[in-house]
Amino acid sequence: MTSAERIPLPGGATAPIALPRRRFLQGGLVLIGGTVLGSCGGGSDSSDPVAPQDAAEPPSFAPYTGVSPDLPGDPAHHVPDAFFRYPADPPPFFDGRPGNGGTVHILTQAGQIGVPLDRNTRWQKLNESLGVELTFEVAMPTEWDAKQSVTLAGGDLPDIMQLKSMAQFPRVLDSEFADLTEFLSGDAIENYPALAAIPSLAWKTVTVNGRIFGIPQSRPPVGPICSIRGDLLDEMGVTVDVSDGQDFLDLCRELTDPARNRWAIASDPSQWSLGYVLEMMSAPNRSHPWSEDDGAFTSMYETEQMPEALDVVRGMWEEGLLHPDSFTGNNAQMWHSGSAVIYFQAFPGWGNFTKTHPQYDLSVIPPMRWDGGGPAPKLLTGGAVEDFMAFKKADAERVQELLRIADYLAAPFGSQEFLLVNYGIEGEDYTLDGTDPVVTEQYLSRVIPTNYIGSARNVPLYVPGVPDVTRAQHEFLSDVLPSGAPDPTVGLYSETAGTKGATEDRNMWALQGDIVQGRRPVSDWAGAVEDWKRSVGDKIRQEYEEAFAAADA
Amino acid sequence: MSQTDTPREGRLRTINGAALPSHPVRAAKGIVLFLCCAVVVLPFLAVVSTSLAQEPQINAAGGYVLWPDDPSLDAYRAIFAGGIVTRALMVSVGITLVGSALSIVCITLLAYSLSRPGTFAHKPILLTVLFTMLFSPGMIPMYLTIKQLGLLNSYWSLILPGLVTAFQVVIVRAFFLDIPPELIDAARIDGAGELQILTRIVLPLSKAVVAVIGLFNAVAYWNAFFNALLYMQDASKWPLQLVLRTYVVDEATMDVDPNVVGDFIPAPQSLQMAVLVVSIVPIALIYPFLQKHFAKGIYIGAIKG
Repeated sequence: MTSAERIPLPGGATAPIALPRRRFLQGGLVLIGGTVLGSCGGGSDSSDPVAPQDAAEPPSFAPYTGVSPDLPGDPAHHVPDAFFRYPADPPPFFDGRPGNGGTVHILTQAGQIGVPLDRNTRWQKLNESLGVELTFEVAMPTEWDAKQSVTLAGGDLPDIMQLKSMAQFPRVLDSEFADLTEFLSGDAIENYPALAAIPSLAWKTVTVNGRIFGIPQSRPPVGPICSIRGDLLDEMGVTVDVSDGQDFLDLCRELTDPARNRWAIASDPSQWSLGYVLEMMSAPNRSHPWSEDDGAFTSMYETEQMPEALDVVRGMWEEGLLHPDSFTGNNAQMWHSGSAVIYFQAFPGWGNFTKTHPQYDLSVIPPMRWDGGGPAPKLLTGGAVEDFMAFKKADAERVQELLRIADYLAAPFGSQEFLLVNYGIEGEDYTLDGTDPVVTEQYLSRVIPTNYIGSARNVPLYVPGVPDVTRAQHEFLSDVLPSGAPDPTVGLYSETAGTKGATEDRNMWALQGDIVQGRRPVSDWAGAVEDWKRSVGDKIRQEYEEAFAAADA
Repeated sequence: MSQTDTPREGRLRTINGAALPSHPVRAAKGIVLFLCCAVVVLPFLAVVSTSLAQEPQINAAGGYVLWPDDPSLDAYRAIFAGGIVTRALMVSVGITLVGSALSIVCITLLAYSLSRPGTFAHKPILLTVLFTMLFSPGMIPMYLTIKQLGLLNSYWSLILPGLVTAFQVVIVRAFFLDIPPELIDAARIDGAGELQILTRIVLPLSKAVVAVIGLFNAVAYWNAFFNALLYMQDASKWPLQLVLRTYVVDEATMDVDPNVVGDFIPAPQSLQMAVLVVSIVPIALIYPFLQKHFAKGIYIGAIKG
């Protein structure tokens, strides 16, 4: 480039003005499709995802045996071990430092940012232990799509990057990110003992087209829970005894008292209440949108239970059992204020809210069959956070170094390193109550966003200082997971779902909201489903079925 | 002070010759105005009060309180802990001041040159400026441009993309066109050059419109967070709005960690309201100083052209 091709910048600097045309056009494609199509060589048809490859053997599961759980898990059914207290005098898990002294740049989702490295002794200590300097670039989940798109379009990828499924996802992975299969498949994972302690189910989330492309953060695959405040039940003199759908409706009626500004449920009806009713009817819902039977996939939209469930929730809305601001308001705030008794939320919220609000006396209502006959199968989700951490393509030595670093960050519960990675420095970021770590106020300002890189903090079960909740969680998972219905789409990819599916989903959800609020009749649903099947539904089904068959083979 | 007639039976009270309405009408007007003021003030009061309130009171009130029973600064303490917000505040102030000043200079120069008849190629340049109002560059082309200019992670990436806004150029140019050409001709006869004419004749007559675009740009630079999200890789360089946004993102989207919840974390609602206060107050302080220019500048820009 000649000097004439540079332009002056403030401060006297100059910069090149030429844009690489290829990358620019790729950027446009990222904007509309979210991928870096142009960087895939070979002249293949860019609309055709990478063909499924031979499925790799999943990583072997080798749990950490250095600690004995208070309540043993059931690995066959994905029930984690549970601990009431952190083990005393935790031993070190690793010998030496995993890094070679360079820098590792990480792009990840995070809700908080910590103070800079020069004032963050926790970060400095972690870097020293890892033998590398970690640098972070973070964005909130709400803006992640934009951040991911521009980063991929820019082409200058970080060493480790969190990835959300997008259009042409397999092709993007294949062209830009390291295939970790040879390092992690089968017994090869024994070189990374902390990663080997990640439950097997979690690896399905990071396996795309049969190849392992990332590091998962494991969590119980239980899906949303129906949590209920015991303090409000006591206040109203109501006991929970739900054995079928009618009991659930009766409970909601008992809990609703508009004169006292109280309703049964505050969560968004078309998502959560409808989802719960569908779960009781053994039909898929928004958290688990497809069911599978002998290789044939059925969408949540097209089940025979959906119109009935819509009618039930519509009746609940008409009867005034749902908070009148459920569709638009701050649902959590309604629950906190006591305007609603039931709140649907993610599983970790159970322990979280119990710690912050022990007076709530939280419990969970497992889904029962709508027409009676015992518990309904819990609709399970993937065993890991969907947006997983992938490594930029590099030579094998660099990839192995990154894997060693990920291994360290995934230090198992009960080790010294687990405390350093997840809690920080004793006396600064946390203190010990007995053997349990209790975080200090300083912890919040020194957050290091490594949690998505294989962190063991959600599995096993451990809520420090609240063993009763740990026990209740273990009991609940032991009850519902063995009979739960696995999500058949975990590890499968549908190009149509990744491109046009989201828009069509929003249209269908809007219609569900209209039906529940009485603006449209339930009879409109069937026509909308036919339209959805014609536009994207049948194509998505076909793609999932083909991917399922390929994975099964 | 105008003369107000002494009330006499059978005569209307007047101010400046205009009849005063009867007492009931005046009372009704007062009530209406009071209600209008209340509608404006009460939300602000609720925001400030909720930011100071404790969680039990917030919950009992259903989310917002109008007066805190037991005021607490916990939410503000949580926000300012660690110095992250303080640094971000400095970044935002710097970007707002430098960006607004540069924007005023660039927009004024461009608008002045486009308002003078006979300026070389001013019509094509004006059309080019107007053309940019029709299309926005898009997120990824902008990112690639910033990247190729070497501005990623630089504060200039938060200033330069919004430096000149075509809409504001149009407003200022319209204002300049309204200045009597005789004044400029007289200055020219007295030997003034273009720069002198601009700085000594035109700008002193254009305080209103300069104040308006200054305020427009200050608010835009102050509120911008998305550019920083894309271009600033180092979180320690984030402006205030982006840092504060981490406090108000829907908790349902976050990776909730049951292990790190402490008793010292204030109620989410008071935290969010404190964030609102911190983000609104500094920029709101500018308004009273520019208010007298604001309406006039907008009015003139809107009806001249």
